[in-house]
Amino acid sequence: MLESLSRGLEPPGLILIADSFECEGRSLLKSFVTSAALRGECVHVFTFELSDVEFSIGLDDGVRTRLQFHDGFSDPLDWEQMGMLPIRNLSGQELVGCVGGVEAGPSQQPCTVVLDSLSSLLQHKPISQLARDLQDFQQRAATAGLTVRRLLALLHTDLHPPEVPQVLGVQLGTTVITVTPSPEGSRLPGSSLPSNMASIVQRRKSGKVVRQEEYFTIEIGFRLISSVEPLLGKQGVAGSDSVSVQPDPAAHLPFNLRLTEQEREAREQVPLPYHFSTEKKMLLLHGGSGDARIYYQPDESDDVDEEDPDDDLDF
Amino acid sequence: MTEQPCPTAVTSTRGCKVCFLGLVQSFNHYSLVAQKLGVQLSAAREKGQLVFLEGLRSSLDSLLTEQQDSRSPFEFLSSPDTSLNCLYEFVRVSLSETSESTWKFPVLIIDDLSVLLSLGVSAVNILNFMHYCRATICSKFMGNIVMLVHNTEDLEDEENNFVVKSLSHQCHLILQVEGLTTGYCKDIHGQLTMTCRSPSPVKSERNITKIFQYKVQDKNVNFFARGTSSSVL
Repeated sequence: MLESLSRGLEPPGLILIADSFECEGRSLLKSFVTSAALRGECVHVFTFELSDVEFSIGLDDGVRTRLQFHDGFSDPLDWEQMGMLPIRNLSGQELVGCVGGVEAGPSQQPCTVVLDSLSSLLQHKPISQLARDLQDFQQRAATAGLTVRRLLALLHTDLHPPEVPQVLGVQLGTTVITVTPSPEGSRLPGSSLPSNMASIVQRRKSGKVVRQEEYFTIEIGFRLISSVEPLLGKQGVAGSDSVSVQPDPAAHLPFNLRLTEQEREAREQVPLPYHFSTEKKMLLLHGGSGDARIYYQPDESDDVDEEDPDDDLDF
Repeated sequence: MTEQPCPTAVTSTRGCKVCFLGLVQSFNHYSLVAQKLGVQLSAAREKGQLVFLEGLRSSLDSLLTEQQDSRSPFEFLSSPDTSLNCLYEFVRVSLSETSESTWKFPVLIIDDLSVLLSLGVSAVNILNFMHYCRATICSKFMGNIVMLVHNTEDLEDEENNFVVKSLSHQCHLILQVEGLTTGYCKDIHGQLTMTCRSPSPVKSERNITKIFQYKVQDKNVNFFARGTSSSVL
């Protein structure tokens, strides 16, 4: 599903990449940007967290020519009075104005809009306002005749309460891709780089929610490689091969150490010598009732005298 | 966190124009420590290489003087919930002359950001200030920023933790200094965890984390791998 999202085969809408300090998501975002640019789409990148030069590092020249940067990084609060994109007043109308101004009127050519990142916007406006602004942008873009095929956004989950991606997902019908590091040493076939795990939650217009987990890695040139199959690393992530690798000590012996099934069952039936079973307990409980008797059969040579041998004692 | 991070940073900025926001200690303190490491802060300040903002003295002057100096870097002390625009202006003006001079590139050193929270500055205003410093010094002037922030994860200081997490996402290198979990040791004074964030910008790579232990000596700091302290070997 990750590759189909990257190639634009899934229905259009908002794709939110949720990352954390342990696993950055900007490289996945840039792989989506690269795919969109190579499809011939114009990509509008709104940078709030880093400069356009830093964002462009690693992108091919052919991709860069299709990127249109809107600078929300240099002067977001108008301290320098440079007339840049104001982060506090950024609304759906402003976003449409920036995109539409470049596209020069209603355009049938699809474009992709990238917001890097939503965490910077959420420092200055509440989540409800941001969700409304994004919804407003999508509606105004459609009204203005702009074909915004996809809206990509990056969010740092460790900077916000956990319900923020859910709110965006429910209100905007977002596809949320949460990236986390996969176990140490795990690799995808054909890649030497460590892989990460993407947990995808896609909300479709029919109301159906699709969940999937995939492993992915980003190669040089922001080429995406993904796989649904679990990985086998040095530590044996799948775990199934480790048991059979161990040597069998009972093999290749001149005597037999193994048991047949019947012998194994018979062995399991044998009570242990000091095991306090129910039978032993019952035996001990009934032992004081006087059932135990001593039977004596005298021989012919035995002299049985009924008299008390202590009668002649006079104390 | 370490007691003396900033003079060590100053020793590695030879030939650079430095703006040092010393908000916690006096200039003499940093000067004495730097002297032990072979750096003369007084001489650097006199020849214009170092611009030092002595927070303890300047903030007091800003509060006690009656004249309305709107360009004071500590204007935020008198008005609650004010932005750090004036402090940023001070930094920008101090380092904007780098391109016209013989210095290599500008460096901003801040000791420390957590004290701004204690002075009533909100976390968002601190992050706005750091954003502008980064935009101007790193992106525009191609310089570096070294800052000290206290880690209060165990103390549940939400504002400080938010500042630390936000800055961690923006930093390229994070040095986390802490004492040993086993307590005091004569030969090992602490542990340094160095995290290089996303080392390659052209493909996805994990953060590289390395752990060292250190011993602070009179004129030097010795770093060594865990288990290789001189008392052990």
